[in-house]
Amino acid sequence: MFKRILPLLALLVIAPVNLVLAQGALLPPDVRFESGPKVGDQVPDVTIVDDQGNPVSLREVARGHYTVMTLGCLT
Amino acid sequence: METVERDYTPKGVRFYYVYKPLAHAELDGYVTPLTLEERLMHVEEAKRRLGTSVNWLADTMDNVFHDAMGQTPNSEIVIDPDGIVVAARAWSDPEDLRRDMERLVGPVDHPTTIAELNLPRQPPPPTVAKGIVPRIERPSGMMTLQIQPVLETTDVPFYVKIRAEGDLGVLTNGNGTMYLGFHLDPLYRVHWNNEAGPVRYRVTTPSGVTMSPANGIGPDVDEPADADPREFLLAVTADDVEEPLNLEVFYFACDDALTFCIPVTQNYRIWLQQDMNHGPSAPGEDSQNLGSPGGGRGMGMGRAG
Repeated sequence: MFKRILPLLALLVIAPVNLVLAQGALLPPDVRFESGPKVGDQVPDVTIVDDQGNPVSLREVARGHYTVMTLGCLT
Repeated sequence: METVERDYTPKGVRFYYVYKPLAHAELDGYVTPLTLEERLMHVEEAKRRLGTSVNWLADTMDNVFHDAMGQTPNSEIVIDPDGIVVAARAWSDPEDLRRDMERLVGPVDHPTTIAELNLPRQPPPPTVAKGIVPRIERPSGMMTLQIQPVLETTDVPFYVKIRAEGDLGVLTNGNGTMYLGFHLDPLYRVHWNNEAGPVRYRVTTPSGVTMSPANGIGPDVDEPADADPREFLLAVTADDVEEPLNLEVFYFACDDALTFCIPVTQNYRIWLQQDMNHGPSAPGEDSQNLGSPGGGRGMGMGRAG
């Protein structure tokens, strides 16, 4: 009997994992953004590049004035 | 964002688009850049297409800013002079942004309208004939796999870009279907020279992984040139392997100006893991049919404004 139950038990474990992974892959941006910056946080301390490829510190770029940063791409 | 940028740049606010990984590869034929140089080519192309005066920055190829922003396609933050986030949203919204500016900086007497912007937007780059080689039917729910070009094995650009996707079976238990597509990068203005020979690939797998077919060759095409992708579906079986596959691609790179047609061999590493920075593809879609002019989904730049 245990041999019959085991595959079913395995399925009960695997199915939710697959569902979670599928959902993880398809989480809407609003949910993903929950791990992003919040009001009151300091701007992320990362170095990116300008349009010539020169390194720029995000905190240096934003220092001393209001700054708007919008993520985007061609498609 | 352009209307807000026009009104508040004179008040000392700085506006930046930060270029990130493509959310919808293949839309308008654009494919994922593989190097920082190519990502900056995308920035130039975005400037050309949008005609915007907003400044551009670009994420590094390890996508540090995209990760910090929750790997979202079009999120937006407003930062005060002390470096503190004072507004944050998952989707860029020009009306919300204007309200932020009015609250933080003050209103303007005559807000610029979209009609007043008159941005010189441009269409996608032209290509040679498409629609000659039929697209294959991909299983639903395919996700982008992590890939890495082996830069040291080539001294020419990746004129042809691979697109590797795996179904849920591949991603969860290593057994399923992988999509392998070879897409011409429209920014290089190249085409398939069907008289020079088709694209060929060879996959070398680590122990515990089998792929079929491990070798492939593109179709014979009667037309002398075209710009359609060459696509393959591979059956995958993998026993909990973390090592990457190696993909070798051979093709002839021929430019549309007919100044060169050279044999190219390039290599990639492919991991059977989802790439969380890149969204699913949009095969055959045209941004002119998506969203509204001046933004919308097609340009990944949020709503017009």
